[in-house]
Amino acid sequence: MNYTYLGLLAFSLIGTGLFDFKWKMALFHNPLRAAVTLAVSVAYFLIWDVAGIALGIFFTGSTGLITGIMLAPNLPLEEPLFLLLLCYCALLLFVAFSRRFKR
Amino acid sequence: MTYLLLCLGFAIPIAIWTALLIRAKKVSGKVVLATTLTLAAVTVIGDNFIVSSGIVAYDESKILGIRIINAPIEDFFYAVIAVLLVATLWRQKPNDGPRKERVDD
Repeated sequence: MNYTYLGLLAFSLIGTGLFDFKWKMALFHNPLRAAVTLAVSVAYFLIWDVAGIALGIFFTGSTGLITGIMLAPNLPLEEPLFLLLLCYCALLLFVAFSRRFKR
Repeated sequence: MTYLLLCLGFAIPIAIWTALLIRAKKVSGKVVLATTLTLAAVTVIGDNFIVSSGIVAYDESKILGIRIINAPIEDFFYAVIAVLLVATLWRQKPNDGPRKERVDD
């Protein structure tokens, strides 16, 4: 059981959240809208991921960096957290550019 | 080809939806482009970390084989569609802030 990847994801998510908090961008600006945006986006990617795993396209590699906790075959615990980070970053970047291009 | 087809299957509906919203001027195409380019650049670093460290592995017979360093090019669909998804969803109602805080953000 290795916490490296999980730790990096948690660190990144918290860091991203701090930006959100400081600049009141998404969860700290419009919590319901942000929660729905992120929940639907992550769900979409999870379905996409599960399809990819079912088709044998990708799978867990030989790494010592994950906890080993599997939510499903070849779907590690870290994966939904990674997808959340991806979507959260995308959302904050989108809000940042929206604000920037309005000034 | 399998991975490419999978990605296209998930990407095309979102791309069409986004194009419609941009056309209806509910989403800024310029903002979407800037966000996509930025996230794609970040993905080069992040995705290569995940692939190179062996966190994820691929069936070589199912991917195109084109790689950006070590990351399969199809992975970039995720970054692009992440932007389109959050942009189109974020631009939906409801806006739950008080009236004076309803910045068109």
